Amino acid sequence: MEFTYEFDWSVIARHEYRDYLLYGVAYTFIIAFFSTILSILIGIVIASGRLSPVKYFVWPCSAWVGVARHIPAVFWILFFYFVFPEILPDSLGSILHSWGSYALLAGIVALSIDNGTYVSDILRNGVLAISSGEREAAKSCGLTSKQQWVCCLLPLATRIVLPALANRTIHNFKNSSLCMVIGVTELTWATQQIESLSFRGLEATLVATIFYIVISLIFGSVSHKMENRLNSCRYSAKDVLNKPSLSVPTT
Amino acid sequence: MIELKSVGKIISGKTILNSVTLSLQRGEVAMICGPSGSGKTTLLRTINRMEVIDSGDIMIDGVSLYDEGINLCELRSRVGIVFQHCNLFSHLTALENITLPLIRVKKLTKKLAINIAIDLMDKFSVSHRRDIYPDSLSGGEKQRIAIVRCLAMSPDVMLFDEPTSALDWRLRDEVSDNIKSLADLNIAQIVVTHDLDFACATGNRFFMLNNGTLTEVDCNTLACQSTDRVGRLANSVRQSSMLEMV
Amino acid sequence: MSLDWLSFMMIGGWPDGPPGGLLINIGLAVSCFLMGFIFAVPLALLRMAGGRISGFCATAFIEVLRSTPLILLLFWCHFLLPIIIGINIPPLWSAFIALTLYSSAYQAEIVRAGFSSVPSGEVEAAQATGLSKSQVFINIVIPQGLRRMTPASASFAVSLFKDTAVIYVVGVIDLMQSGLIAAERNPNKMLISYLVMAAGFAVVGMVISLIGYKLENRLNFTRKVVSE
Repeated sequence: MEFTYEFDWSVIARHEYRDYLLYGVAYTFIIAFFSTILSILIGIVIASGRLSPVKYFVWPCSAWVGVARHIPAVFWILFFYFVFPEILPDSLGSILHSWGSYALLAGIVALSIDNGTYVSDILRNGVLAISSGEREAAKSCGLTSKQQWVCCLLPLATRIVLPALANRTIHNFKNSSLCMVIGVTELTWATQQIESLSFRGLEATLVATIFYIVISLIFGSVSHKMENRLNSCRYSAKDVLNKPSLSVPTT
Repeated sequence: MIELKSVGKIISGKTILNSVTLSLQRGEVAMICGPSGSGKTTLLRTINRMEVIDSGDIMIDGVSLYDEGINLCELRSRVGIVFQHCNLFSHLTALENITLPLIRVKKLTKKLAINIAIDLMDKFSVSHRRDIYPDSLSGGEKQRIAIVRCLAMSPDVMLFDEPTSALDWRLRDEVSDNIKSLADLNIAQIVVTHDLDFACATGNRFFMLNNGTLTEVDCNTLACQSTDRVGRLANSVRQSSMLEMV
Repeated sequence: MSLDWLSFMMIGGWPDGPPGGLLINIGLAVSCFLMGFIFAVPLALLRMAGGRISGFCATAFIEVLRSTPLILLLFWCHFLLPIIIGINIPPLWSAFIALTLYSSAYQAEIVRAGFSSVPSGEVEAAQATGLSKSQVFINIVIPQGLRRMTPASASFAVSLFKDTAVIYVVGVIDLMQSGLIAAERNPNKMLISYLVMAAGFAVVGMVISLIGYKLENRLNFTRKVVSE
């Protein structure tokens, strides 16, 4: 067992392979970006359904989250690519089949559904984490119910939710690599393509791995900084009393 | 018995303790009072080397805490500390809380440890709560368990960090009695508190800690401070009610 | 005869032939979870209290594995590790290696969070009664840390089981792969075999959640009040 492999970095510098990697990076970002946005929308819808006072909204949403959180993302991807066009009416299905970008769309939708389940859970927990005491305090200050949400409760919930949401986004970014199973030309697919064409996959995979690690670490540290800043801008009672506008007037 | 010789402590450039000197005999109860942030808790924690001091020396029975080759664990088992929030081990029952150090540090058999623990719990009338987990104990019970946990190790010195702060006023007298009864057992005690009335009722030596400097005072001075504080409190209440009107 | 495809998806050729289908997913999830935990504890300890170099190595190991997509990790273990070490690895073993690495990194962070959530006051109190460092660790930090990490461990077990769906890309005939094969062989059964795949993951996932929940309640010392 000894290291016999000799690196040949010129492979990934060759322009056809380099293009695979560059397109791969672009597609990875596109998938991650759009599926994250879409998953947040889905998450908001499901979370408000579960928090709504109407019973007929609550239980379907809760049941959906209960089941969908156990379904693997890669299942959703295969389902949307292979099965979904089949269960549509024939004409619509064949349009989807013949459309060149359908794989990309299927991947984005599938990842959004997978991530949306988690996002809805995070949002719901954020709202529930606002204690009833804080709600009552906002009410007792004489704020209207809209002011209560805009001025006190939503900023509070954001602070609770943001770290978990950032974590999910990193996860979703990594999950974008799963789209390779349906042939979306993202970064992981590119490494496998280079491997099968040139038998020199090690260099490409190493580059891709470093890319994923660097992006995850950058995003992680940015979200960490943001979290720290949000936590440090809390006023203490002392700050408020020291503000000149609040001091007792002499008249 | 216990001697602090010009103890100094600096934390990130700020002098917390400035040449603190204190000497205490067995059976004496020293009450250390002072405003919040004056270094009371830090002083207490230096005495069993939870905090390392920067200058001076601390001796117990003529042996310095900073001697080379001193057995820190053995030393700490002789200096009991009752923390402000009791810090009972939350995964152990009241009884197990007391027997754990007896079995692990003093290497007693389990049976003997339980006997000692139940004996002491009886004296503090908490033995009926022996199988309860700390989360279900009341504040007073927690503190009594914490005291028993230290006392079971038969310490020479007992330290109390704000023993009354988590208790309501009715339990204050009970703590006072407990501390006095420990003094009868020939244990030197140092109690840190900012409850001046409690201090006057409990101790037999009194100290004020201000900006890291320790001065011995008598009980009357403390009592004066106490009335002084009531006046200041009333003032601040008046001010804050004005604030509300703005 | 007509239900052959279903047993193929559940247990593969087992007990007569090689196991496959859902059985593989469950087996891999359980073994990789346990193996991962065995590696996770020393990793977490090194990261928390290791020296400068060993601490850095543990941190780097954990962070690299946590930020690499699982599918890429699988490719590393299946296609690239053999190139480097010059030995061919069967698909099931490369899946096992990849999932074990993956779960050890994630669990190391869970273990670390569990150990550091033990209240510092209790650690101090233990030191103050004269317990030595290792005694504090054995008697206070480990029992409390283990209890505090059960919720996170349980939810990681659920997600690890879910993640085993990916191993089909290196050719392991697990539930995913056998479902795809079944769908390909009987195109009229495509929808039903996909439904079986989803149901297999959902049901086992829920059972794991339930076990985790039960365990959590049993270990939760704060709620365990002995009646007088």
